[in-house]
Parts: sequence; structure tokens; C-alpha cells
Amino acid sequence: MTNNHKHIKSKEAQKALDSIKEMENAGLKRVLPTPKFLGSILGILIGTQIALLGAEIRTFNTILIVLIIIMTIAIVNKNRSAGVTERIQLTKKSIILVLICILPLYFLAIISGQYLHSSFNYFWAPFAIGGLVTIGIWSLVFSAYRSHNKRFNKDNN
Amino acid sequence: MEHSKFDTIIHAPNRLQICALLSPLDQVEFRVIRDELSVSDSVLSKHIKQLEDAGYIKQKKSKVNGRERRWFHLTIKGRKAFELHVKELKRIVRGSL
Repeated sequence: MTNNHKHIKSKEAQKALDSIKEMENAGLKRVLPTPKFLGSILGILIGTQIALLGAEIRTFNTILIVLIIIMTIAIVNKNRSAGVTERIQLTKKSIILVLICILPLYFLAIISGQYLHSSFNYFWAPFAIGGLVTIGIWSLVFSAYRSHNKRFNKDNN
Repeated sequence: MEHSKFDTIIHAPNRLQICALLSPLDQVEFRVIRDELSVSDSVLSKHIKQLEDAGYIKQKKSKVNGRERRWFHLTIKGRKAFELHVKELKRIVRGSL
């Protein structure tokens, strides 16, 4: 009797664990990475801004900032429309550290472009740096997509 | 290290699924939970109420295009209770081997 009871209990526990795994996967599947086209446009905008500021062309700076803000809001809204928001495992301290690292990199890219442009007359340098930043953002967006697909295709198999 | 603990509030199939869905995420909207569980609004509301009363989940309301949306997340207490419950389930399974 005891063995039978234990057996049923463990079977029920296994069933519960299977259902937990299934629901966790269902939840994670709904968290989509940044949409490819929005991420690509954002990459182009940021790269263009870095290139133009590096080349000391400030005419389009305001419009670029507005477009970058609009794209960021669009990405956040697109993610929220899925009905789930991802759990960020980073602590507040880590987020601040990441921001502290990213912001100087952004300014470093602009200043490097300006320096190479004005000191060595490398007029192409700011555009090359802007292009590299765009490629960097694209690779982040596409690798996030690839790892998402890989993860869930693996689970499905 | 905390011991595993069987939680009768969480163990009910629908509530277990709600907690499992919320556990890897930050916030989940009401309609998503309803669709994933394939239950009616009233059934889901009943289970959510029980989890809220136990202090395991909390809701936030937001308006999108004039329509109210309810978002749910596991509280620290809820997350802990769910983790201990899963630990206990694993212990039961291991114990039977």
C-alpha cells in the first residue's frame, strides 16, 4: 500500500515537473528578441549619427536623435505587445556598470572619428567607424535571433 | 541552504502552470496566461485571486489604446515558494528511483 502510494505520488510529481518545464518553455518562447527590421534600422540610425558627428556635420543630429528615440520606443512597444516582458537577471548595479561601459564607447567612437578626420584628414574615418558600429548592432540583433531559434528548435527536437 | 517544501496553494495544476509561466519572465499579461492555460477568464481570475491572497503574485494595470491590461508577476515570496515546491517535487521523484 505504501509503495503504491509512493509510486502514485512520484508519478504525480513527475507529471507536475513536466508541466512546469512545458509552461516555462511556452513563456520563454513568447519573449522574442528585438525585431530584425527595427533592430537593423536602429543600427543604421546610430551608425549614421556617429558618422555624421565624427565628420562634424551636425545638421541632421536633432532629427537623428528623435528617430533613435522613436525606434527605441517602437522596439519596447513591440516587445510589450507580445504580452510578456523578459526577466532581466542583471542586478541594478550590473545595469549601471553596463551603461557606464556603453556610453563612453559611444562618445569614444565619435571622438575617434573627429580626431582622425581633423588631424590626419581621413575624411572616410568617421563613416568607417559609423559603419562598424552599425555592423556591431546588426550582429547583436541577428545573434540574439539565432540563439533564440537555436534554443527552441533544440527544445522542439 | 533552505529545505524543499511542498506548497498546497501552488500544487493545484492551474496554479502550478501560472507560477511556471511567470517564473522565467518579468511580467505576463492576463490574456497570455489565459491562452497558455486554455482556461476561461473566470477560472483564471479565481486562481489568480488565490495566488494573490497568498502573496505569491501581484498585478499591475496599464492602459493601451484606452483598454485596460492586467500584468502579473511573481513576488519574491512567490518565487521562493515556487522554487522550494519544485525542489520538493524533484526530491519526491528522486526518492522513488
